[in-house]
Formats: sequence, C-alpha cells, structure tokens
Amino acid sequence: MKRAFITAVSAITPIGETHEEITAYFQKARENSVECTYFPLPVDSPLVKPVIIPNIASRSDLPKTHRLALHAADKLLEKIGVAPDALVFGSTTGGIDCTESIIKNKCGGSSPDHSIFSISEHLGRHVGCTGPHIAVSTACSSGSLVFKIALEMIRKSEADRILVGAADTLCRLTYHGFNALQLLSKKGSFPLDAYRDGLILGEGVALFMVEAADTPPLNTVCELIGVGLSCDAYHAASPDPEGDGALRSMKNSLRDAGINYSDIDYINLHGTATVENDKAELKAVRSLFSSQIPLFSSVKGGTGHTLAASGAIEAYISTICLSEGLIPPNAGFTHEDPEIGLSPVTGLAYREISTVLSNSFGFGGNNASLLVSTDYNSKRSFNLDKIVLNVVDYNCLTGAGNLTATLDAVAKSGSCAGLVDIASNVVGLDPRAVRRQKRLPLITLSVASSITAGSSVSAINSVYLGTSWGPMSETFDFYTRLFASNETFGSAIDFIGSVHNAPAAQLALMCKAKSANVTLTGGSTSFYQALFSASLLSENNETALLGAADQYHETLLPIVDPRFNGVQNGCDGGALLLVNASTNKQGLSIQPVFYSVNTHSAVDELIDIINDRHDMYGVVWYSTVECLITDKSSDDQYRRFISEFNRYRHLLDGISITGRFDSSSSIIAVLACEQVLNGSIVVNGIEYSSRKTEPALIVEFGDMIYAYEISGKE
Amino acid sequence: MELKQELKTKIVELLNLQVSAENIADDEQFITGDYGIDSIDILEIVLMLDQDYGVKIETKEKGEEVFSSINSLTEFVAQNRSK
Repeated sequence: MKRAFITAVSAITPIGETHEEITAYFQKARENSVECTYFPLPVDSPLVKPVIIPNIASRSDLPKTHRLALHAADKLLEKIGVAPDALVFGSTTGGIDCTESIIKNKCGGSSPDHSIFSISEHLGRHVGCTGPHIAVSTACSSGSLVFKIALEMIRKSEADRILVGAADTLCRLTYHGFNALQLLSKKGSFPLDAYRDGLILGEGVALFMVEAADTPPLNTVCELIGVGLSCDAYHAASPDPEGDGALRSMKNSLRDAGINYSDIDYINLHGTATVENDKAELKAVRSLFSSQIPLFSSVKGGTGHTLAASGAIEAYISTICLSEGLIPPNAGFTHEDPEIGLSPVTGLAYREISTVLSNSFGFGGNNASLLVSTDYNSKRSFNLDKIVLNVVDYNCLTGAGNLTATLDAVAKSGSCAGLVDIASNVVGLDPRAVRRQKRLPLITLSVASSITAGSSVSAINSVYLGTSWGPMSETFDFYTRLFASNETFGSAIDFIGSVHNAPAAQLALMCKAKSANVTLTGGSTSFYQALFSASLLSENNETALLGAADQYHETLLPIVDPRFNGVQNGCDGGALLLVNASTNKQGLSIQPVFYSVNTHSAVDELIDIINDRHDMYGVVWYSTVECLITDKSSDDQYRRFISEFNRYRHLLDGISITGRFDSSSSIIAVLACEQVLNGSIVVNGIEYSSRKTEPALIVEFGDMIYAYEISGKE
Repeated sequence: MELKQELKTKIVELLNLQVSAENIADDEQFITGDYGIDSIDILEIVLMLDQDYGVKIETKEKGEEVFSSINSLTEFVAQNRSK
C-alpha cells in the first residue's frame, strides 16, 4: 500500500501566506478583526477577518473564491513540476458572491461560476488535471474531509498526485446567516476564553500536493497519516454538547493512522470561539486524552473561522508546526473558562514535535479530524480489503412518483420526467420533525424513509449524497428576506438549510447515522462522486445510504446554472441506494469504473477499460445531461461515444427517461438495478431483456465522462 | 387583528408548526411544550420580532421571561414595539 505525503503547500489566510508571515503573526498574535466592507452594514455590526483577494488578469469576472483558489494554485505550481492526476476540493460558498449581486439587483443575468464544482473545474484546467475532480461540501469540516478522500484514493491506487484544498470567502449568506444564529462577535475572536462571545468570519484558501510513495519523496513536507470522520446525528446546526461526535472523529483518526493518543504532540483545535463548540470540543479532548492532554490551541483568534477553508488552512498551519517545531499561541485567550477548566498554549512555543491532530467540525454535526506527521519510521499496519458495495434496497422520487410509479410511467410512456409532487409523494415522515424542511431535504428524507421502513437493516452508518445545486429554496428564500429587509434580516432556519450538506445531515438525524457523512457536488457527476466516495471510504460491514438529489427552482436555477436558462419543463427528484460494504459480493452491487475530464482521448480510455472488464453488458444506459442542453451532438468525441456504444444490444438514453437535471444519474441507477435484478425493463412498451449475469453499464458524456457498473449474482 | 392573535398566527406560519393558531392557549408554555420548538426556532422568532415590531431581545434570560407564554410575549411586544 502506498503512503500519502504532502509535498507542496500554498495558502492565503488572514494571518499571512508564507511560513515567515504566519510565524511573525504568532509572535505577536494580536486581535486583527476589522469591519466588513464587502456589503452595506449598519455600524456596530460583527467584525470579520478578510484577506486581499488577488486579481487574476483577464478574469476579474470570476468569483472571489475562484480567484483565491487560482492564485494559490499558481503559487503551488511554482513548487511542483508535474500536473496532478486528481483533484479534491472543498467549499461552501463557491461563487455565491456573484450570485447574490444578481439576486439583489433583480436585473436578470446569470452566475456561470456559482457552483462549488466550478472551482474544481477552473483549478483542473489551470493546473492541467484531467483525472477525477471531487468537490466536497460538508460545511466547516470540508477542508479536513477532502484529505480523507485523497488519502483513500492513494491507499487504493486511484491516484498518485492529488491536488487537495479548500477555500471560502466572505459573503452575505454566511455573514447574515451566522448573525441570525447569534454566533458572530462584535468584539473579536477569543477561542476557549471565559468571555468568548462568538466567532469572527474569515476567508482564505489552502492548497496541497499529496503524493503517493512508499518512502518520503525528497521534497516531503509531512505525511498524511490518517483522517477520522464522524457525524453527531444530533442537531442540524448545534454541536452535541457531550462532544460525542468530536470524540469519535478523533478516535477514528487514530484508528485510521494506526497510532495511539499518546503519539500526538499538539492538537490544533476547531476552537471557533462560540460558547457551545469550545465547550463540547474540550469535553471530547478531555475524554480522549484523560490526564495526558498534549499541548493544544485554536488559531481562529487569528484566522477567524474561514468555514470550509478552515480545515485546509489549519492543515497548512499544522505543516508549519511540524517544519518549524512551533506550537501556535491561542490568540485571544486570557481567562480560563471554569466550564472548560483547561488552558491552551498562549505564547508561541518551540518544541520537538512530530505528530499533529487537527479538528474541523461543521453544520450537521459533520466532523473530521486530520493527522499529519514527520515520524516516517513508525510501523503502521492497515487492512486493505477489497470492498464491494452490495445494494440491499433502493427507491426514488421522480416526476412520476416513487419507484413503483416511476417504473410504471417508464414502461408506459418511456418517461418519468417532471417535478416531484411534494404534496402527494412526500409521505412517511413525521410532520413535526420535518416542519422546517423544504423541497430538497423533503425529497431525500422521503426516499430514505421509504427504504428504511421496509428494510431489515438494523443500522445505517454513513451517508454519501450528491447534489449539484443544493437546497435552492432555502438559499433563495434567505436572500429574498435579506434584500426585502434592506440587508438587515437573514433567516436562521433558511441559513442552516441552505448549506449543501443540510439534506445529508437530515438523513443522518433520521437514521442515526453516526459515521462518515459526505456531500459531493459536481454538476451531473454528483451521483458518481457520491458513489466513488462511498466505494473509497466504506469499511467492511458498514451500511450506507448512497444517492443524489436535486430540486428545481424556477427563479434561482437559471441564475446559478446558465445551462438551464430557458429550459422549459423543469425536472427534479432523487434516488437513494442502501448499500452494504463487504469483502464478498452478495448479489446486486454497484461499482464506479471510470471518471475523467472529457479530453480528446477520454472516450478511448473509457472504451479500453470497459472492454477489459466484460464481454457484454446487458444494457448500456447513457446519459448526456450537458449535451442535450449545450448541443454537443456535432462533437467528434460525442459521435465516437455513441457509435462505440451502439454495438451493445440495448442502448438506452437515460435522460430521455428521467428528464434533464443534474442528479438524474441516481434515478438511472435505480432503474438499472431493477433491470439487472429482473433481467429486463420495459421502456415505452418495449421490453429490454438481458441475461442475469450481464451487468448494466451507466455512462455519462459531458464536460466530464464517467461510467459505473451495476451487476447481479455472478 | 388583535396583537395576541397576530403573534400566534405569525409564529405558527414562521415555524410551520403543526397546530392551528387558535389552538395555542394564551397562557401555555408554547416554547417548552409539545410543538418541538428548539433554539433555532427561538432565534427565528427573535428575528421576526425585531423585523416586524422593532422589538429587540438582547439576552437569554430576557428571552426566557418573554417567551414563557403568549401572554407574556404579547405584553412585551405591546410595551416595546417601535413599528
């Protein structure tokens, strides 16, 4: 098994960019919060910690987050020679700063770089990466969680050189959202301090080159030895006051790395400076380390809370700790909180340290703990079983209704396309429990409820959910109220609901799923990314909900996704598969096969790979969300793609069945499960039969090309 | 509309409570009662009171006092409203 080494780093943070600048900040560690000048605010509003957003020549139209990420990539490129072969990037705000101006001005127009995935696409083009682009959006744990996906890609030989990172920038949504939650401070960020009164929002980016190797490469900064994930499954926004999820996240990181708690030299706390987070986190630390707590501090007194970027920025600071042998001071701490009863490091200290633990926790009780080390000689052993995702059950909601109604509509008319009828199809949910939920979480919760109601599975551990557009109703409603109140009032409920990982958090709450909770967002690759992540991260005997969902929104969709500007007849829906990870194939199973940027050779690469796998697929489902919208039918690669797959007995056009929306691939997945299980499927009155031993292949042709397989009993 | 009734209706709509406004009793402890109201809902009510009535609730203690019943909430809004 290959090990993962961080070989290059770059960052832009509110306390500097380089080792020297950040170390110089730590020497003084002064409060550095300022007034927010990005948008109009009344006097005496909460403070922020901004960075100088770099201007990218000829791309001043790009959102701030994109410009930060590209600038950091330029700095990283100076240090690396070869392009990465994969990219894992996290964000919560994406290009929303451009989107909110359009919503505010009501003058039409679109925000072509709204999506979080568009940062990955820009980065990929910029650094010449044509391999898998994974976009993570798990709120404030994103910047640490990205390392887990990268680590497993390296352990499982899916990539050798991965560009990993996260970025977020200040915007109205997060500023007014956290303000509505009364979590922002007007004084400053004082993590762990007895008189702390909230967090200060910051912004920034950190990027890393993570390389696979057996021994440390020449330019190694440190080794990425483990990442632990967990979900509180406690509340949509508040941390579990007992710190149970935080404790499990840290424990999982130790197990992942194969080390003991006594091996940790320094803990970089999540330490947001909110009353609740700091109390719960330190409770978890005390519980894990008992009387042997290593040195610890939070750097958010300096950086502020940079949301998705925070995990990556703090991973960057952890690399500085290891290379300089320094322990960052907990800026802002003067008085020990009697409810915590512990004091962090308050002045810059120098120690011989070799292993750092860094915590990142987010909305939805989404936790990630990262371990980096320069102790390259310790022997660690791992279990690298080949995992199969066995499909135990599945269901969906489409314009036609649930799976039964969908199959019926597909059989009769060849289409289940349309908008989910929420009133008649969202059933089986406790009205009180879901009273705050809007369209997207209602779709996913309802599908999950239909699966768990009839399932004999005793526990669901993890959730892997793809969504391209995220909760658009909550996002739009938040801005509507904000701009109607002259930029004064945001909604606490809509803010919590607006984050991309809110639906997955609701699934975790409903199913008490306390292991990994991962939301992926990648346009029409969203479902594939969820599948890919589930196959990477699932451990033997774990059960997960895997799927994707997207909602239609008449006003917001054409703004955030110009591909859908002018598209009539909106469609939405989603599907979930209950999968059990096992070392044995037990019947129906699903497996990712291929994921690449659509280059001139990608179709040939795909064809080579699938020809090596099977002589014959029962049915090939092809999906072309983007082609049908942007008319790539004249494209050479597209013609090559179609002519190649025409040799298969049955070639079904998935999009004509599901309608055009980015998570339609999840619907195709459950239809393909039915087809493989039954040996046939009826579409528009025609029966497509296959042998039960023949798997189905689902391929997507767009700016990205991917393929996955669903197979029955062997 | 009478302020008391108006507040009940607004809260039921704002939080999508699964109860009709008429069925919330004036002296009922609706925050800790059976409607499943949590801290996020309370923040939403606080925002609504500020936005619609210009009434600010600055501390947790004040909130607990004000939100003890519809009666106490109505009284507080009536005395402090600027809109």
